[in-house]
Amino acid sequence: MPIVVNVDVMLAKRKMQSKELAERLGITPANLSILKTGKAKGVRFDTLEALCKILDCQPGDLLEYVPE
Amino acid sequence: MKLVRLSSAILFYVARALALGYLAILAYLLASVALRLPSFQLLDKKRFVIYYPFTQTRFLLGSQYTAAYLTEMVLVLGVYGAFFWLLGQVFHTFKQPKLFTQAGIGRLRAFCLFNLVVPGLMLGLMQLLATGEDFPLGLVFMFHTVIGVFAFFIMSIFQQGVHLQNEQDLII
Repeated sequence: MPIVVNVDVMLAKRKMQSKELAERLGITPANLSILKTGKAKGVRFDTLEALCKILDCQPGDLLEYVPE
Repeated sequence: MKLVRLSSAILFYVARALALGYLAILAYLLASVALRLPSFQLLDKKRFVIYYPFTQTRFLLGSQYTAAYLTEMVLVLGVYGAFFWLLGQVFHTFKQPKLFTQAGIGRLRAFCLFNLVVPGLMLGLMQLLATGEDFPLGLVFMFHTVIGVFAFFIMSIFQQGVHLQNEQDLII
């Protein structure tokens, strides 16, 4: 998929653990893992909004288009 | 969906009660005939009667005491016992909090196959036995075929539902 999810990069920059992010997002660690590994079919706007708020970033920091 | 769950729960217990009723009658018939219990009595002209347990009130009346006639009785009771059991399983599916599941598809598949295959076999066997009993064979066959086809359509909807649900689970 040409859309790459950079949640891991932002987590590292904010020195935050996946478990904590999942808790604050209100999703299961398994679902966060699906998102991080690029297996997700889509991201809801409210999830994206919460991610940006928690990680203090812009949607563009989390999602990147890489041509195949 | 609340109303569907409620009615499914009620219908589940009704179907289970009917299934258990048919199977209990079947077991009682077999036990009465095979063990020659006091509840079984031969009448004139090769007719027979099975009384309610411990009473002299007639429960089942047979017009011929022959293997073919008894086989037909066992067949009808067994098939309808199984039919109501599987129908109960279908209602059980509709009372679940999560509707579209592989288990639900399995229950619908069993019900669909049963209705499309078993009545045809039963009616074929009954034609062979030729006991002369007045039984609306054509109507019964048509009724089960229609139910079987509807169950097949519902099963296809469930398969689609499971697929969409799996897709939906990947939207975070």
